[in-house]
Amino acid sequence: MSGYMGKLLWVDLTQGKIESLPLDGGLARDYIGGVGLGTRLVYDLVARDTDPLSPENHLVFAAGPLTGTTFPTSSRYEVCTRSPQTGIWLDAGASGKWGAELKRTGYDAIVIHGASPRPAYLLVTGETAELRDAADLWGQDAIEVQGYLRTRLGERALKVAAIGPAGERQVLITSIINDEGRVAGRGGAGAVMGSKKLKAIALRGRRQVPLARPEPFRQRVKEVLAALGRSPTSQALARWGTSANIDAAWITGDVPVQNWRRRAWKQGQARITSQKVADLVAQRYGACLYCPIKCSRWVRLEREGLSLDGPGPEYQTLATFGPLLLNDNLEVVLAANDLCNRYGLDTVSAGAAIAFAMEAYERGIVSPSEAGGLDLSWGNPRAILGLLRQMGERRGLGELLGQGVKRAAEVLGRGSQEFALHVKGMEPPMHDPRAFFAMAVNYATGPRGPDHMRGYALAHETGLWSKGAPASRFSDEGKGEGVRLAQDRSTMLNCLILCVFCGQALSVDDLAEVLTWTTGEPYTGGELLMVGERIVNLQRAFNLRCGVSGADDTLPPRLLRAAEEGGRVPDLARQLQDYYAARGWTADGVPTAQKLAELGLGGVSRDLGLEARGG
Amino acid sequence: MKVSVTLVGILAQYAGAPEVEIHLPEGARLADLHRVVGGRPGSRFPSEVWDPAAERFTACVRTFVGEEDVEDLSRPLASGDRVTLLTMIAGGLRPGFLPPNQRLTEKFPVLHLGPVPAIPEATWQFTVEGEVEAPIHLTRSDLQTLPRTVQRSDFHCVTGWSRLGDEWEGVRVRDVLALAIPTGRDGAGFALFLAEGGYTTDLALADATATDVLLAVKFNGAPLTPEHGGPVRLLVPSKYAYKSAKWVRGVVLSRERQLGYWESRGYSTSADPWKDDRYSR
Repeated sequence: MSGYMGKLLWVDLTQGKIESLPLDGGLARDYIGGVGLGTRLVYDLVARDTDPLSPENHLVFAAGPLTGTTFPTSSRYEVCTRSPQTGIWLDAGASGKWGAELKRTGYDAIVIHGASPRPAYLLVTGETAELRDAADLWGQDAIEVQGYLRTRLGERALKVAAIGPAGERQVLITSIINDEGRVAGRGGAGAVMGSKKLKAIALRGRRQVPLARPEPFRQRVKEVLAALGRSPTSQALARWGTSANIDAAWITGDVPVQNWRRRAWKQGQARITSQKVADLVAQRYGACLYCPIKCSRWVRLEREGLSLDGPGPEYQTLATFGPLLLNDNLEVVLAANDLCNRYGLDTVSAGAAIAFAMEAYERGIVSPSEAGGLDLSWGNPRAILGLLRQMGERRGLGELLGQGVKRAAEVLGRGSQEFALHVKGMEPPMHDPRAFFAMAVNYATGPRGPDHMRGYALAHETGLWSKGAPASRFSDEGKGEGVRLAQDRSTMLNCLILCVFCGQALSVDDLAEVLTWTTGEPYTGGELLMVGERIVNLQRAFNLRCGVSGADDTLPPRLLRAAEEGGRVPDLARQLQDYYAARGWTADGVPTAQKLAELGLGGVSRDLGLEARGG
Repeated sequence: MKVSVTLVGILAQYAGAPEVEIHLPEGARLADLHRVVGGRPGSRFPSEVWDPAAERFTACVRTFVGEEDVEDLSRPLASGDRVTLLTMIAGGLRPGFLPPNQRLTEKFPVLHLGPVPAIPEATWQFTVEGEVEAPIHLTRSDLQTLPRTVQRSDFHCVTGWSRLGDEWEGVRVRDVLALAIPTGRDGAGFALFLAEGGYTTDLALADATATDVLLAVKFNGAPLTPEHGGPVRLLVPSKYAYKSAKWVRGVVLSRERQLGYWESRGYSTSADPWKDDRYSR
């Protein structure tokens, strides 16, 4: 089938064995690629009692059929596994150039299991795939190791995805970093690589992705480029990067302040703006492969005690290390972002863990001596950067915080659970469901935990990318169905794979047409959404097998109360009821045997014991 | 009554101003405010945010009165109200969305050396010479066979005014130069562009071949007028506009930099607006 390279690379790190196996055409048809392919493989390969940090856990790096083509924003990959942070489903995606390079090596996905007896890295070229010794790479930060490998191998164009020292130490809130600062974040995929002693995957390929109908494909690429050029959202992203989110978020109350206690902070609003970020940026533009939007930024800063040369902060990082911590010093945000990238820490979870520690300190739950002599007052730069180093090096209070706020609060006790904000063990990203109500049920039901990228429910309430009038952001009406659709759609985009900033702007029928021209297989928009629905249901089944139940589909109590300034709160119970109904799930949040059969997941019913219960 | 309106980020760019004060009759409603702000002369709201038939902003623009997010446009306004218009991925608040010491203008001042030449399209030619393997002479019809690019670009004049986000259409200079095959290693490193009336400007070859450098033929959807450099001008958005030579007729590639007209008279050759880089040092 065109669009695919037709092969999966299977790597057994325990045995040091690598083999190339054909991609099953039926699997490609039913799951498309990317997160879909990864979901089916991980569901089939990872048993319910598998410890995420054991050799038995699998790690799937998957590209999609559009990856490696010239379609705008298509150079992405998804990594799927069982999360060591949450113990449930995890997929994490990143852009850059690595995803396209994976296809150019001739593979659609790399499936990794086992654990190497010593540090290793995987080198895949068009001709060979081999495990190599990584003794001299172990301990290098996640950005420097990329340059080091390129120099050592004499391959300037080598594309590397790597973990940092935090991933090596199996800190649970760790990411995988590729292309000098694109990040597959959330949930601890970095720790899974660390547990397998796999430092990096380096790629070099020259193959072309075959297209079934190149001419209409190229014509559509031109049209999409022109449409992206006209789009106000693309223009704002091009000018200010994703930090363009924060100016409106201050006004709408979307950005959380001081560990989600507040929704406004005038001093921060004046000092943490996208323009002030732009003023600190050395190079205004940077782009992922085949992306006309160019939302990346490069920062160079030389100050006393601070020397930076790396990617600038995304919105999530800006909001986390800014208002969430009551920090109005942008240079500290940039330094924190750089530390996270180098250690390989997830910025949202790391920042949220620091917010948790600062609140614990304020309440006297963490003493100055427990803080290792750091003054954990809100916004203190030394505390922010000091705790990040502790987390990265797995020492002091950082050892605890690096496990995420849920586990940290369980160990700390003393009432700290009340302000440990998480859903299913993952800290929520920086969009407040009290400002956009659809985010409430989206966070509560997200397959990997609270999420804004898997189910961009905000779009449903803001008019972003939608033709019709947006749903009222302070209403619970229709949010169940809206979020179901948003989740299915986002999941489908992560199969193709396309970035949210391009994929959300296209209709599902347009996407189906592009996929048809790529693969030669006829698709309709309805079929694409059904693939998304199939994957969300399979991820739900994976989570049910891991012990999740409908009772876990909730929000931290603080997010179901008004912020200190007052304001409205969503009715989560009502939204959930609507959501389960829209999904065709039971009132307890379990997919019915009938729904699974409709989606071609009959075997999953048996796994969940639904048939015996009459589903 | 007087109402002040703040336009956030990208909307400020389209409006040509981050804040405007408007006068409305007593009893006016939000819908009236939309009509007046969206229809202001000089504003350039694209159809994604402004519906000219309905005379209102589209669904992706949110309207705040004070701190209240208002969805009902029949809401009456009162004198002194502060209204904010924004999109969700809006970008920066004022000030500072311009390079240092620049001011935003909705006008397009006409500044150039000498008179406006009359150049019939039929006789227009563009030459590429110097450190190239195959010198070329492009006619207007040759130019039309090359791929066109449409882009939104800013325009910063060294005299201190800026226009933001105009739509420019043209052919990438890199595509034109590629036809002539610049000589490789130790060969061409610089470009001197030649224009009508003896005007010249220089660029490093790497700057001249950036993806946003065009031989521009259209401005905001219409053919370039003679006073703005038509039929064909150079567009170098990342530099002060004396690099965007009007009535451009050719380029000479060389190993050594040859300074252009203003560059040899004390103006910066690198000319980066974001570094306030106006004069040679």
